[in-house]
Amino acid sequence: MKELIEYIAKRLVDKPEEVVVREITGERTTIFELKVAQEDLGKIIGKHGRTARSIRTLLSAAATKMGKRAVLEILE
Amino acid sequence: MDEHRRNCIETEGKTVGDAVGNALKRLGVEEDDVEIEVLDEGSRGVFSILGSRQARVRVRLKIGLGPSSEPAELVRELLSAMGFSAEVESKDVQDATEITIGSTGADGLLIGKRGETLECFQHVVSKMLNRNASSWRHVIVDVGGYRKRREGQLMKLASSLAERASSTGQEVSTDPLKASERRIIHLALKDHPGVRSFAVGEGLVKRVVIGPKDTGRS
Repeated sequence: MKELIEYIAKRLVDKPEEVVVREITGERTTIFELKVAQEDLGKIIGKHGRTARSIRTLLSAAATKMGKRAVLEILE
Repeated sequence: MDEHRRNCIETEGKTVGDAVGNALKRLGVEEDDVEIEVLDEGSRGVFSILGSRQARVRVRLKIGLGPSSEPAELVRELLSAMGFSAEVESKDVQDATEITIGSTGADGLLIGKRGETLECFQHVVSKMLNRNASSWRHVIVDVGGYRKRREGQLMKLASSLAERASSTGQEVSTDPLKASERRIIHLALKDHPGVRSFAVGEGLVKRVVIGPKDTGRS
């Protein structure tokens, strides 16, 4: 799932080398923290947060497929 | 940090083309795999000595991208990153790219409630494919024939609601629908002699209301 977030984020931003994903494994839920270059934040969030919501939805689908739960936090 | 440096290098050459060539050789990739930023176009100088400057470019690897960002390939990679695998085909139709995903064995999960997950998938793919593109391409993604099926359902719904509206003389409404879905209903009833259709609601949550033509509403 970490790869999924990296894959998407790196293809949306102008500075893919600054994409960092940190995985925090919990008992039931895994939290992923996504950090991108300041000027790329808008590209990850999108108009009205649509892109961020889409990434979260895809992450959930991937997690469900694996029988897990995952949360994405976008760091500012 | 080392990884960063490998993703992005600066090179010089007699011309911009030479500089790019040097970078590609060092990275061992094709031109399609990189983004090129010209830092200095260089200058031949007056007598090719005096004041001549090397051209300098910064070349950044499109990380993880295969030979190209061909739509079908990108969708295949995205699916596999999500733990799905399926046949993927893409074709260009006018100014749109239609991407068709075969059955994944878990289509329901990829489609989501009312096609919500598919909509998100399509949005992300569209953003990725249109990044840095000079002109916007419309991207349509379908999974296991879902959109076609849904279109059939909506057309059936349109005609049954139209029948109810004309037999009872009352207005009837659909559930909230997406713009693309409302369009299917409107088009299905465009030439219907007895009813008219219009959207009701705010922003993204709109319903289609179907009513008899002679209600006098504008």
